[in-house]
Amino acid sequence: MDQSAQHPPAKAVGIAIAVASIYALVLWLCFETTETLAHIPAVWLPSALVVGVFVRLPRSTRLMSAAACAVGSMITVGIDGFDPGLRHGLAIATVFEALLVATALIRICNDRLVFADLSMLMRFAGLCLLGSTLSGIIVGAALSDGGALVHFRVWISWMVADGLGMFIWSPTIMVAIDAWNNRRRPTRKEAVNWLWLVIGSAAGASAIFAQTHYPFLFLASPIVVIAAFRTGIPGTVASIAIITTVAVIFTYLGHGPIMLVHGDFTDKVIAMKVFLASNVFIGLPVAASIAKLNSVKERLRASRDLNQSILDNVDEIVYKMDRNGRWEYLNPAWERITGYTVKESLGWKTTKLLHDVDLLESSSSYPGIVSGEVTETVLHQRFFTKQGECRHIEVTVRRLADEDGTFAGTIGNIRDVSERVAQQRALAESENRFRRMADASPIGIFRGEPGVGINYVNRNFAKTLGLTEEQSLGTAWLAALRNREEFENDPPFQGFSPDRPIRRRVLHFNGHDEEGIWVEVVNSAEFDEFGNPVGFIGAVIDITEQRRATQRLIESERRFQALANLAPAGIFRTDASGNCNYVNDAWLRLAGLGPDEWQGDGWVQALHPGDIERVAADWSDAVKKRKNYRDEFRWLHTDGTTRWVDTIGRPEIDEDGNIVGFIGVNIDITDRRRAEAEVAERDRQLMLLAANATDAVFRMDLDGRCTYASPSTRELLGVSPATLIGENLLTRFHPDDEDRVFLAFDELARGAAQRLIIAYRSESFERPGEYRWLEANCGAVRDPDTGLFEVLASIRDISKTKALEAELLDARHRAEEAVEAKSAFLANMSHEIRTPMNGVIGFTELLLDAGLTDEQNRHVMLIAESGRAMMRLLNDILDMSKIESGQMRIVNEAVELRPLVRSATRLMEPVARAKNVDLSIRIDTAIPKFIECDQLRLRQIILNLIGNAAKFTEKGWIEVNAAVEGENNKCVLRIDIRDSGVGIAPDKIDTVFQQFAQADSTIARRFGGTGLGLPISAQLARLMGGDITVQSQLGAGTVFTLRIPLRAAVSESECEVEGGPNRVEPIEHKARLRVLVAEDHDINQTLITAMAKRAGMDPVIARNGAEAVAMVTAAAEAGTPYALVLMDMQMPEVDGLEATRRLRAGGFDAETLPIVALTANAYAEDIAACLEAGMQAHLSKPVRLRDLQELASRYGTGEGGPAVDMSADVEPVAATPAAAPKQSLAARFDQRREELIELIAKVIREGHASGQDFDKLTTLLHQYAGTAGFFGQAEQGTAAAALEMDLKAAGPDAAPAMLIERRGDLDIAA
Amino acid sequence: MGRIILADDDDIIADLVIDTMIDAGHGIGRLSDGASALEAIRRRPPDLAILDCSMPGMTGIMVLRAIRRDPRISGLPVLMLTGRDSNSDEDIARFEGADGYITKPFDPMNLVRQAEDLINGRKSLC
Repeated sequence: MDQSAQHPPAKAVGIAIAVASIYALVLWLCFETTETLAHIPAVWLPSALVVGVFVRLPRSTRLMSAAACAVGSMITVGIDGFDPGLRHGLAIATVFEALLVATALIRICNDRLVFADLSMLMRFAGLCLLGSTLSGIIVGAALSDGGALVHFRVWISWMVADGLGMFIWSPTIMVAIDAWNNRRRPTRKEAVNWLWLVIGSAAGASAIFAQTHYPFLFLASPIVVIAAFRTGIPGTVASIAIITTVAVIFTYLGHGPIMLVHGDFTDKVIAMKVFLASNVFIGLPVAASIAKLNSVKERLRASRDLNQSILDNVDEIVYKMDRNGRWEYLNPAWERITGYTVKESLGWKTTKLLHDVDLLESSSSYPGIVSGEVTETVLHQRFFTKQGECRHIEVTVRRLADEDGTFAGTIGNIRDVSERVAQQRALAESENRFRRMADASPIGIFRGEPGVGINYVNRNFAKTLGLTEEQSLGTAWLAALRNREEFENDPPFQGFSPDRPIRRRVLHFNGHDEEGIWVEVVNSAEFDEFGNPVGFIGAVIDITEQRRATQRLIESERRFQALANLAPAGIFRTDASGNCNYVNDAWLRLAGLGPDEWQGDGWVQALHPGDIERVAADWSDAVKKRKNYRDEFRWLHTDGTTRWVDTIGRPEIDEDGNIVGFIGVNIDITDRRRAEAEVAERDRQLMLLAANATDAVFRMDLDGRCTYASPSTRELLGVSPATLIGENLLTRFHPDDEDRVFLAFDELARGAAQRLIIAYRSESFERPGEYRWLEANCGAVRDPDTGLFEVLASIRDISKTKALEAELLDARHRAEEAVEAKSAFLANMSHEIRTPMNGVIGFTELLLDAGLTDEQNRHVMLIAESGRAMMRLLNDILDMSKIESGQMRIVNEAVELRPLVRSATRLMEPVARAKNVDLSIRIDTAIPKFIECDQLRLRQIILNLIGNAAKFTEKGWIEVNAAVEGENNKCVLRIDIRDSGVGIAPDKIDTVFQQFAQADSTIARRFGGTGLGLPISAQLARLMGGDITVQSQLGAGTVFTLRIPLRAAVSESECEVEGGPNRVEPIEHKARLRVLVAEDHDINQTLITAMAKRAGMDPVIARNGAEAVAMVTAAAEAGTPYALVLMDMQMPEVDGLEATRRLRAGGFDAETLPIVALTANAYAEDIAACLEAGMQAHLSKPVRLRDLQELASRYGTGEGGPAVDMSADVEPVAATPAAAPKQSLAARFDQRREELIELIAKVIREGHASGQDFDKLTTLLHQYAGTAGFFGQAEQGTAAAALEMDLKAAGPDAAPAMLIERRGDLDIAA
Repeated sequence: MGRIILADDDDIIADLVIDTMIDAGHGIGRLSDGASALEAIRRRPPDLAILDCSMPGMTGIMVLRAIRRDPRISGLPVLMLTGRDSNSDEDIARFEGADGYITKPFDPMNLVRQAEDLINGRKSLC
């Protein structure tokens, strides 16, 4: 035990200081008394104090207290002048001795000095003796006055004073400390005892020590022993202490029996101490023994109380029977069980209350027990209680014997087992009942046990399964199981739990026939309190017949479904509340529902919304009233189609007459419905027509008899329809028309004609003799039902039309005559005007060269301009009259549209540019290159329209857009001329194509013009099979749209090869190199043609590789082979590489036909590809003239083709109509070049450049520099650009010199 | 098929460009000076502008700059025509935000290809 935990350091220090203080005080007192008692103290207490305190002190404070005591003794020793040697000796001896004795005592007594143990008391006495002997040596040495080493007498004195002191006082201190530690409030009796003790001890001691005559010292012992009996150890100690105190006081005062001792003071003190020690020696053991006896008595009493309480409270009777068979002891349970008290029962024969039957059994077993054959037995008996109730008991009997083995009675217990017996009996009864019930049950019943299998079956179990009882028990029945494998995969008696105590399964047993026996087994488990199954009970039901019926039902159902699905009509079934529970496939198709959507009332959603309400209501009604249902309604499919169905539903009634549902069919009547609707609609329309027609409608048979006449007959013919029925209608014709009408009717009647329209005159009903024109629209109709023919005729009055027709014919004749006359007149007139006008214009032009003054010149030019305007007007008028008189002829030819539009546009460009109007063109690439049309007239129309747009557009833009409309053979060429000009007011828009009618008369004044342009254009377009339309918004612009039929020219290549009628053969002076240029791009064709010519070649264009191959082959066959081919790499259809390969493969080798590639990108791999394909060289684009000249010189020296004049004028010649406008580019470039050459020559010639010339020179140089590259003169272009910059930097004065020096760079010196 | 505005003072080059573009199926209108070209472009923005770099008065570069600063037409594709070996023109054109440039003399097919790339929204420069 850790004492320090209970004694914190502060407390330990406190204890140590207190012990040390007391010690020091006692030590000092002893020193003082020692002074008086001649050197050796009579009573030496310090050692006793230290030992007593140390033994009872907690361990943790012992060491500290010892140290404190040592310090205390030091202090005390130094207080006064008492003999220092003695003091030191005493102090040292005391401390040494006390520590020695305390330590040894603690070791020996194991901390507890028990005073009742005499041996321990002896050891304590021995220790005191040993300690005082040893310390006595020290003290004796300290007091030795030179004689013996140790003063013997002093030694003895010390041993007595100190050893006896320890022996007397240490226990006293210990007991005091124990009493203090166990202090409690004393009882009254204890207090009285203690009072007697104190009084008795003090009185007794005083009586002994107050006289000195009698040695009554022995009287002290009875006092101490009495104290020990009355008050225990503490009282004994207290008594000893009181006696000691009294004895010391009286002895000190010279009284008492000690005085009778013969000897000196020391002898008296010794005697006194022995007396005191004997008191201790007597008193303490007696007190301790008494205390021990008391504690044993206390434990015995407690044990007895416990036994008694156990016996009193057990449920069973505990008994003892004496050897005479009478009750000797019975516990209180007897009273509870029997109702008799224990007191009255003791002494009864034990068999007194037993049942008569059990008396016999009891008397038979009794002798065995008495004789000792049976020492122990259990009897089951019955007895009657005091109330007369019979109870079952279980009696345990154990034989008792004396030391010599003779029977001394029995002991045992009796337990009331009436409840248990009653339960067992009830259980047996229940089991019995179960078996009886099971055997009487019509179903098989069994019971099982885990691990054992079936341990009980009733009669029906075996009978149901066709087994004997032996075959059913355990696991034997498994042998008769047919679906054994399935069974073993799902073993019995498993998978049960308190939550799921019941399992069902179907088993198949062998039985006696092929079908076997099908049984359903219901198995229920019983569980113990831990939830483990402890048993099973189950029933077996024969379901063979039931199963057979189910199979038959399924088969029947399947047959029904198969049949139902074969039926063309939709079949459905519902439950009694009208919810659908079966439909066949045809029904699903009719309703348009998916496999799961029809269920319940799902079919309602497929109803046509228009029918839902009605059908749902009718159906609910039918279901409610349980009557037949029939209706026609529509299903609406998800794809929007509807199906009409005729639905018949009939209640299904079972054998008891209850409605189990409805069964019905859906028949598709969509076609019938549609036919009915169509017929009704047609009837309605016919009636409507007949009733509202202004024409009279008749039906008549093949003989002409009327079968129907419409209401309008009355208005048309003046007779009521009714009167005509049955009449022959083929009468009253004009004699001139009669034959014709009959003939026509005959045709209809014969079936030769289905329908015809005939006009004839008929005599009026109202005014006989008067005829009017009628028109009959007749048809022959076969009645589909009767198969008979009839004729339907619709008749209208056309008298007015006929009259108008006659008038018109007459008018036309007159008009035609007039127009012819006018045209003739105009043609004549225009010729007559033209002749003098030629004179006017011709002579004014002559006049212009006649050296007139400026004023006159201007007048003459005005005359010439007026004349030309007049001629234009004349031409327009002439055109107009030609058109009107039908003399205008359209001549179709192959025309290339793009250049045509482009050239027409270009004519108008100066006008547009002057007005700063943006004139743009767009020509759809889908338009064939060559189209069939009248080039001259088309150009005239386009010019007219653009001119018109330019005229009315002050600012903004004009767009010309050519495109293709329509597809295939119905293609139309559409040209829109759109402007952002003044526009045309809506009310004037119709007049723009009228002759002489400009939209606004003020316009004529503002914009001029004859006003014939648009009408002529419109007429021309019409003649070409097209038209012109106009759309306009005032102030926003106008669109004129020309549409003419688009026909691709029959053979474009033909046109090209022939070169058109304008082809001019160059005059050949000298052999030129015949070169085939394969190039697909128009502009490149033009450029390279121009450059090749300049380089002395005679180029012919092929537009793609295939054409090139064909043309080379054709030329070789014709004997005019090409000397060189310039082959573009990228061409449509067959590219340059492929064409080269084909040529090389066709036998044209590099010697006879060198091929030079034209490439846009001269990458190494392109060049390699060219050479690999069989080409000899390549030129990169844009091609330079110098390259071509080199080629010409390289390949021109051979036998080559026909020579062409090298010095010939190089004005490019139109090889194709396509090239025509582009050739002019080259021409214009040449013109620019000539202009530049001339200007340079002029500056050089004049030696200076005027400001004007200088500006023009730099402009021309700039322009030349920009364009030269396109015409194979890139280097010259670069030189020109450099020259332009240098000239601008140097100024006009330096120009001549610079030009002389550098004109060689421009290649224009020659 | 696009609508193109061409600004070039030189008739011959203008005709070359016009013919080339018409043959390729495009609509093209031509202005002979920068100022009117810019006006035409502002009036009705085309699908592509082809501008000659050096024109008297307002040059193509100036037109280009004006186009890029006008928020309504700043995204217009512009193809510049530059003089032969005039690297500075190319640099300036690129700096001012031209989408492509064609050096004179040019292969007409190259012009068409570049023009169509720009009309169809593909940048040809860089």
